[in-house]
Amino acid sequence: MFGKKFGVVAASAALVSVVLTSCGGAEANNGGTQGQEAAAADGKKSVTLWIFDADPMYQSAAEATAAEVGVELKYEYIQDETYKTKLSVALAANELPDVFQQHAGKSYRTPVLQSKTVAPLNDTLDSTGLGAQFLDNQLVTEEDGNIYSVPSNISTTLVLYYNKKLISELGAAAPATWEDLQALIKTANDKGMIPIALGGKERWQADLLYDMLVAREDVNAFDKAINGQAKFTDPPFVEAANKVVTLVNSNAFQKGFLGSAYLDAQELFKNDKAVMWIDGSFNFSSLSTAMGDNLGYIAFPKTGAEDVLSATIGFQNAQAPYSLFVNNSSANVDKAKEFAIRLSLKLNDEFVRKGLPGYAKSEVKSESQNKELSAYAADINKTSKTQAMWFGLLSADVGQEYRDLTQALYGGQLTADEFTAQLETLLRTAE
Amino acid sequence: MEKALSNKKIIALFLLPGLTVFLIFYFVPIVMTAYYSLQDWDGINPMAFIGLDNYTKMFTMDKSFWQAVWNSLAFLLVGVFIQLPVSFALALLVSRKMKGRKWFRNIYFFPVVMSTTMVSLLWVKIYDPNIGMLNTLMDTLGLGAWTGAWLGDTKTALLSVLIVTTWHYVGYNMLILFAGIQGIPEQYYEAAKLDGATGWKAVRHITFPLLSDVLRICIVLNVIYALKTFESVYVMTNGGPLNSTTVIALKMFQEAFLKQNFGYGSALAVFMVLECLIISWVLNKILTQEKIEY
Repeated sequence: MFGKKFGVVAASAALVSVVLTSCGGAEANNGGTQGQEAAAADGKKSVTLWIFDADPMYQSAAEATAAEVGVELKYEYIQDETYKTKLSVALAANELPDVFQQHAGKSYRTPVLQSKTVAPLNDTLDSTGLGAQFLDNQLVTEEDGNIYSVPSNISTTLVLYYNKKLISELGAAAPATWEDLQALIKTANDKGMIPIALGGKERWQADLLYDMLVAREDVNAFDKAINGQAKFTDPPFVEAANKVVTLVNSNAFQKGFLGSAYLDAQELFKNDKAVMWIDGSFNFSSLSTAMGDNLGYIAFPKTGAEDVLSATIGFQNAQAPYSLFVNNSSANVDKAKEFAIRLSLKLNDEFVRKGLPGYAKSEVKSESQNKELSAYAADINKTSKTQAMWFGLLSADVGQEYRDLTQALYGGQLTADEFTAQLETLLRTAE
Repeated sequence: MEKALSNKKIIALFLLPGLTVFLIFYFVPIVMTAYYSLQDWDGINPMAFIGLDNYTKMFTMDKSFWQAVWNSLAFLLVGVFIQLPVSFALALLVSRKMKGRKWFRNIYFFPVVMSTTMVSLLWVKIYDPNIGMLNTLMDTLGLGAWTGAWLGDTKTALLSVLIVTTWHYVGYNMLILFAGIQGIPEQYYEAAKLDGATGWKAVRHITFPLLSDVLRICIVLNVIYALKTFESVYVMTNGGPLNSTTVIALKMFQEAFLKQNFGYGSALAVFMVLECLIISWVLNKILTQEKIEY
């Protein structure tokens, strides 16, 4: 009845005009059209790039890559949460920039591929010979045999950071077991310190902690349950839910944590108010800058039957990693493809420089890092399994429902048994 | 010129650009949103017609929908029965010929000029149970037992947001009402004074009746604002904890852009439009009365 693009723009305008009058983040900048107009002025082709990763490394790598490829770069950083909304609208309306980053996980990757707005990169990967630089299985081949993306980040994982100064003041050590963790929580509470800072408002930090607690009970529990070989009401899930309840009841998190934004909670940790912080390894750089030698790291305590290095929770999986995509409507599509591939390799060099395992070959030597980052690099190399965060394996609507459900558990609205029963219903539907 | 303006065809010609813009940017999107509300659509893949299923889901299966309706209603009730009387009281106060009334008027109006996002972020910091000013102040005043998690507690989150929106917009209504009060001729009060009607009596028998038109506008504006509330909730609580502060506009955003249920999000948008239209129409019917003249 109506054209899809016009429909999306009109419907989005109707929805957004009502609700988003002043919540906009960065300025709109659609590379597909505006970029070329500006570039035409000086005869140099331009590439517009959208990035949600706040690490300054991304901008410097992009600028260096643009100089290498010979294009004018229009770099746009967009705050993470705003990015998700902006990209979903841009995708539906085909108003994408030339190159854009996308989050890891099926719920983010599938809409990009289904929108048919991204260009296959096979030809450029072959013609430039750059495809051979990527390590085995690091380039995702889709069902149609094409490669539509290149990696934009390494496989970051969930870790437990701690504040060395506060731990020392408490006369304690980083928790190695569930009992240690409980004892540390009690000691911190007794001394008026926040044991663990948690940003419950966005919900993802809390659901990742639950994912981790399940993985610590049985590293294969999720895979078995989602494949129908087990149930989400089985002991690992119930036990992990009980541990969440125990943590909440023992005041492990700051007062009002369900209403705390992620960044506000992080500030509590950075400013010596909270002893521990559960977050992705992608934050090593910014936390090290803020806290210096005060930053401590452990993989995560042994809270269940599994060993510490038997599994961890990863922010991406092999089929849906953090990626760079190229808009197939870009006027400079060939340059954009080359730019995206070279940027991916340049970012890889930066990860390797930090001593982290890259996704491509690199001639860069690892530079000496702080002790904690080196410990992480060693641990991650020894970790047997990286279980992708569940949210990333679910469709967007089911993933959001899952986050609502975990919030209900943390908020005391559901018991462990009620939670797992509802989890079984929700995720069985997803399956 | 007068001759030209008496020609209906020329009038229509002048109206055409504005009407075209209105149709394209207001009317067509609303009609299309209604169309999408009858589809199962993620915004990307082909849509499938599902009739009224989205509406059935909204009214019968979605528990948080009724929570959102109730919360929107709470915004409406607080807007009309708390915010407006407070605004009226302040308008009366700054209408008095007293020293510094301009200063007070500016102070009460000041929050209105700040963006909702900024005000909300400011209050998030004030409410913060760990480092916020409110709990610290209460502790200092010996009211430590009354401190709370405010935005992080389902029992207090909605009330906390309502206080902020009331504080933010009380000056807006105050200014409209103040302008209305200034328009009432002074001789009415003087005549009333001779009859012994001063203070509250003068307010009740002169100010109220002569402000009825202005009050009606304020009520309709408050109701529409309340039903469309989004930013303050989005920034302060994101609808949480546990949906305790969710409102229809926020739910619509979450369904359409986070869960990629554009069809269901459109159904919520249609509900919101109809809700605003019906309530505004009812209010207009109830509040319309003969213009009073003395």
